[in-house]
Amino acid sequence: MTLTEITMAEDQEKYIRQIELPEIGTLGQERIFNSKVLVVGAGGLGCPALQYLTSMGVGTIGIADFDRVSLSNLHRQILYSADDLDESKVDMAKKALHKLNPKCVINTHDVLLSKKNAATIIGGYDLVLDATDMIPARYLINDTCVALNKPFIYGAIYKYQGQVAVFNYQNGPTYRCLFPDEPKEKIQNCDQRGVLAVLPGIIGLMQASEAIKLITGFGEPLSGFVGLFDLANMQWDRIKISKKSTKKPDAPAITDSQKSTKI
Amino acid sequence: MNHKLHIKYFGQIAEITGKSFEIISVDSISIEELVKNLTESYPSLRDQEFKVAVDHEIKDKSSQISHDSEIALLPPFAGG
Repeated sequence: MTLTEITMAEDQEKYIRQIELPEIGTLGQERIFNSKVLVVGAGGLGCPALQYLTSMGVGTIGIADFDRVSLSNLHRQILYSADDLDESKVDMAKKALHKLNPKCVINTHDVLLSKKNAATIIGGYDLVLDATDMIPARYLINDTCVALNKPFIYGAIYKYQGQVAVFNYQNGPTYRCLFPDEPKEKIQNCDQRGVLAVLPGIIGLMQASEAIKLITGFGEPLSGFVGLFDLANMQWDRIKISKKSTKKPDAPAITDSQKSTKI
Repeated sequence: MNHKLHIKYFGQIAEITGKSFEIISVDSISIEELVKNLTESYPSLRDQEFKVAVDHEIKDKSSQISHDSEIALLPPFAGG
């Protein structure tokens, strides 16, 4: 056996439980190997999503976060341990993910996503997970993905409830079709309102599930809907969203090489 | 004619109303009028950004609700 054949045999065995699903198969697994996914925010939503995307075999993962690990993160941001306090989140996440799957190429972006860098960072990936905890970042990801023609998977939480959706997928609705303009009032996040650790775990894994669906093409993506999950009463609602012609966002400058129509 | 509206409140909206749902009876009403009525009952709603869904679909302010319906008031969430 050549080295390549040995590697292929190892991969076949490692991912066999996924490959034997007829909707995934060898082709689906190859698509997962060849995919490039950016997770913006390596916090409560991002950690579980990153963990599963890596273990499922996503070939290239980008992690964008400018934060440092703090003690109050540890109950829900499961990639980090007490040894990682005050260290860069992207570096500590990369360390944990590399152990999980050494073959995964992990790019770290230790910056605050801004109008200046968003197109360059997002341009290197097929799809984006919005796992941030700030409303302005959500609009920036939306507008950049619209300009670059890339789908993104939105996740957000408030106390015991979560929202999840696939936006800008095959010309489907975007976040601005749901909420056209940034709210004037500040919307509170986990740091201000508290969070039960399992909730971002559930919503983050819903985002990872939708990512795998877009990559492999199986199932029906949650596009054209926003999903609402309520942990307190275990209720799940799907609310239909229509595509709206929203005003052209103040988009960053885009080069052709950053645009993608792959997924 | 009287219609029963089963209204669900999500996120911060539920904290303002102090409940996660309620059932109200109204005559045929537009979403704009419904929001005005709710804002009279819960004045802090005035400062909130939210969308209104009727029977699991986001509708414009001008849409008319003319039968028993499930309504949802859906604010943006920030947390992650």
